[in-house]
Amino acid sequence: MQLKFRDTSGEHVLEARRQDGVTLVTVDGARDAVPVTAAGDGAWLVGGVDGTRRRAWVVSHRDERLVFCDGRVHRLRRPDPVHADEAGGAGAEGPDLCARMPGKVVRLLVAAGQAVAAGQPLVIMESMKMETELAAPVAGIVDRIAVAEGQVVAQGDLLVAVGPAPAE
Amino acid sequence: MSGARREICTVLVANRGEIAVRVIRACREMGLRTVAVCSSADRRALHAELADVVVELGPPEPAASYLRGDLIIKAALDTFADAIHPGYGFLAENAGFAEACAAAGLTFIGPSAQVIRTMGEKTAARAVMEKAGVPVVPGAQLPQPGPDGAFDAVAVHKVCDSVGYPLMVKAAFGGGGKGMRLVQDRAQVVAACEAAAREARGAFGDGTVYVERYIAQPRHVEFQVFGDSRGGAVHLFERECSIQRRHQKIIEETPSPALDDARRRAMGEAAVAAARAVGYEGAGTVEFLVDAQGDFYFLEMNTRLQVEHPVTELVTGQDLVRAQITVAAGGPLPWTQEQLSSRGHAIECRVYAEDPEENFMPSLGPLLLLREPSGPGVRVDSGVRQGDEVSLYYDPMIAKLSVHASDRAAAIERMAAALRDYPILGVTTNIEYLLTVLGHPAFAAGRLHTGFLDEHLPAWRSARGDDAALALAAAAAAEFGGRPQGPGAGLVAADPAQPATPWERLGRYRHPGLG
Repeated sequence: MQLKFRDTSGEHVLEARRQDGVTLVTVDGARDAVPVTAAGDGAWLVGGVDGTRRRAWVVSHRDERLVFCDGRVHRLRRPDPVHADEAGGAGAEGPDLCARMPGKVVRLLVAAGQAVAAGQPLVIMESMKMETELAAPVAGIVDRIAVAEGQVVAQGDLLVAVGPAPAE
Repeated sequence: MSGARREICTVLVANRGEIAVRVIRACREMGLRTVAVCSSADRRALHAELADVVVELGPPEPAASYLRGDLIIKAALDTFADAIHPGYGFLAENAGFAEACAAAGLTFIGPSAQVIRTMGEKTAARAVMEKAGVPVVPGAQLPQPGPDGAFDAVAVHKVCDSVGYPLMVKAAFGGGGKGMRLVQDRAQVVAACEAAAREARGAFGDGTVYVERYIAQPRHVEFQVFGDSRGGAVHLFERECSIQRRHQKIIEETPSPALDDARRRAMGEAAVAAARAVGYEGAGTVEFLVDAQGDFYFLEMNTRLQVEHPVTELVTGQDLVRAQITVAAGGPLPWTQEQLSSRGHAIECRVYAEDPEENFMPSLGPLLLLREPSGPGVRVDSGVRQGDEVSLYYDPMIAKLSVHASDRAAAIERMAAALRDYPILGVTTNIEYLLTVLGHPAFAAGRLHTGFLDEHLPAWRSARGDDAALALAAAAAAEFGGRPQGPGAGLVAADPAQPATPWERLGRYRHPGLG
């Protein structure tokens, strides 16, 4: 899974994958992934590169993720999907395409396994009597089509999962 | 001084937050029935929940609830309370309220209305202290200026030379810095007096000014005193409260790193003399300014339990609230001076919902996540729990975190560890700011004065960039899920508009903010 967060220093790209109950998170393409495991009482154990672990706490509040670690609080924001719209992209942060509002899937423009370019239209949705084209947030391979044509979806429902393009 | 027994069976606590909780717990231990009062905003507050009986006073505004002495006395009579504990703040130093309690046949847990009144007037308090032989900041009255506003230079020099330079010119009926001038040397003093008098006349309608020796970079050192209705008076050592922001203490400790045994004894004796001078009953605090040479001067007396009383309790092993109730019931002081001793070192930090990067603006909102630190020598006095709200009506203090250790260095380390282990999310807090103060070399060296924060941390910024990667990784993992199911698992979804459960976040990633 890939996602983006914005903090005071700018936007960060995170790549998370699960391995033996541990979530390995690559931060901004760093060489070493940071291992994170769920701990008791809602805490997370976050491993450092040197193998030491620190406890962190995370809550979700509106469009922010608040993280407490060692006396400091970090406010992370998901890039705003509305702004992504204005920029002509769709759901600009993850490679996964989700419904931005409740509506009906009118047409699927791609199939699983197909290579897509960033900005390529994937789905046509109808919401509030208006049709909207949703485009691929990044280039990649279509992992899975999660919906069928004519299906009614809720806000946030996954439509199309896009995986990374295979390495050259 | 009657020494008469006044039976106390039910205590009404005329306060809210951590201090109300603290008093209710002490009453519980003593087998006393407790009555809480609350505003409509505090119906589900911890203090209202803990008491045996709760009476709602009115709307959230303090003036319509916690400051309504008439409603509080009626609540006490209606619930058969025989005593009222005022806590600190609100009505704690209101002589009229203490009088009204007595008139209604209720025991006010604190000193007499007369003492509250005398100590509340700065010039009267200063006169009482001077008479009792307690040192006050050297000062003198100035001769009145002529009709044109000009002072007699010879007379002014004579007075000011005897006080010594640098000195402060102050308005006799002033406050808030108006009519105040700092004078470095003899050459400027006449002009400064004239300017201050003009300003005081304009601001307060009275141009009377006086001069006082200027104390540069003073420490704030206060002594806890206790008196009973039989003429007994003791002190429970000092607290150094020099770490202040706009006259608001944020870190307090005992013993003071500035006092040696001889100085401590002299100041303790002066504090007890001050308490005796007014026939003080109950818990009180005598505040002193201490200059660079170690000389001390009476500042004021607080006729109540102080916010920072836990540090005194930690080093003396005594319960000040219990002693307050015992003494208010006409009992003798539970200790003689010789029985009191101070062991180890204690520090208190006030944890506030405020933003140190935004001029310490109160940070309002829900406490989405709150885990209190614990361990040997760690004490948390708090009136809120996870899920409670920091509202604009009351003081945004979340808790007082206090630690006790064998010496000052160990206490600082213990405090820093406890603060790092005190996750509070939802509102911004001063925890990282407190950590910066504790980690400052001047703090470690004990070089404290009331201007410490302005001098050493003038434009504080968080160093959160240092562990940005860790925070990002934790947030990504929480987003991804991966927490085994069970209470408190998963990402805590706490958007009040969307009461999503953490389980919704588990499993495959979905576009956040939309689900």
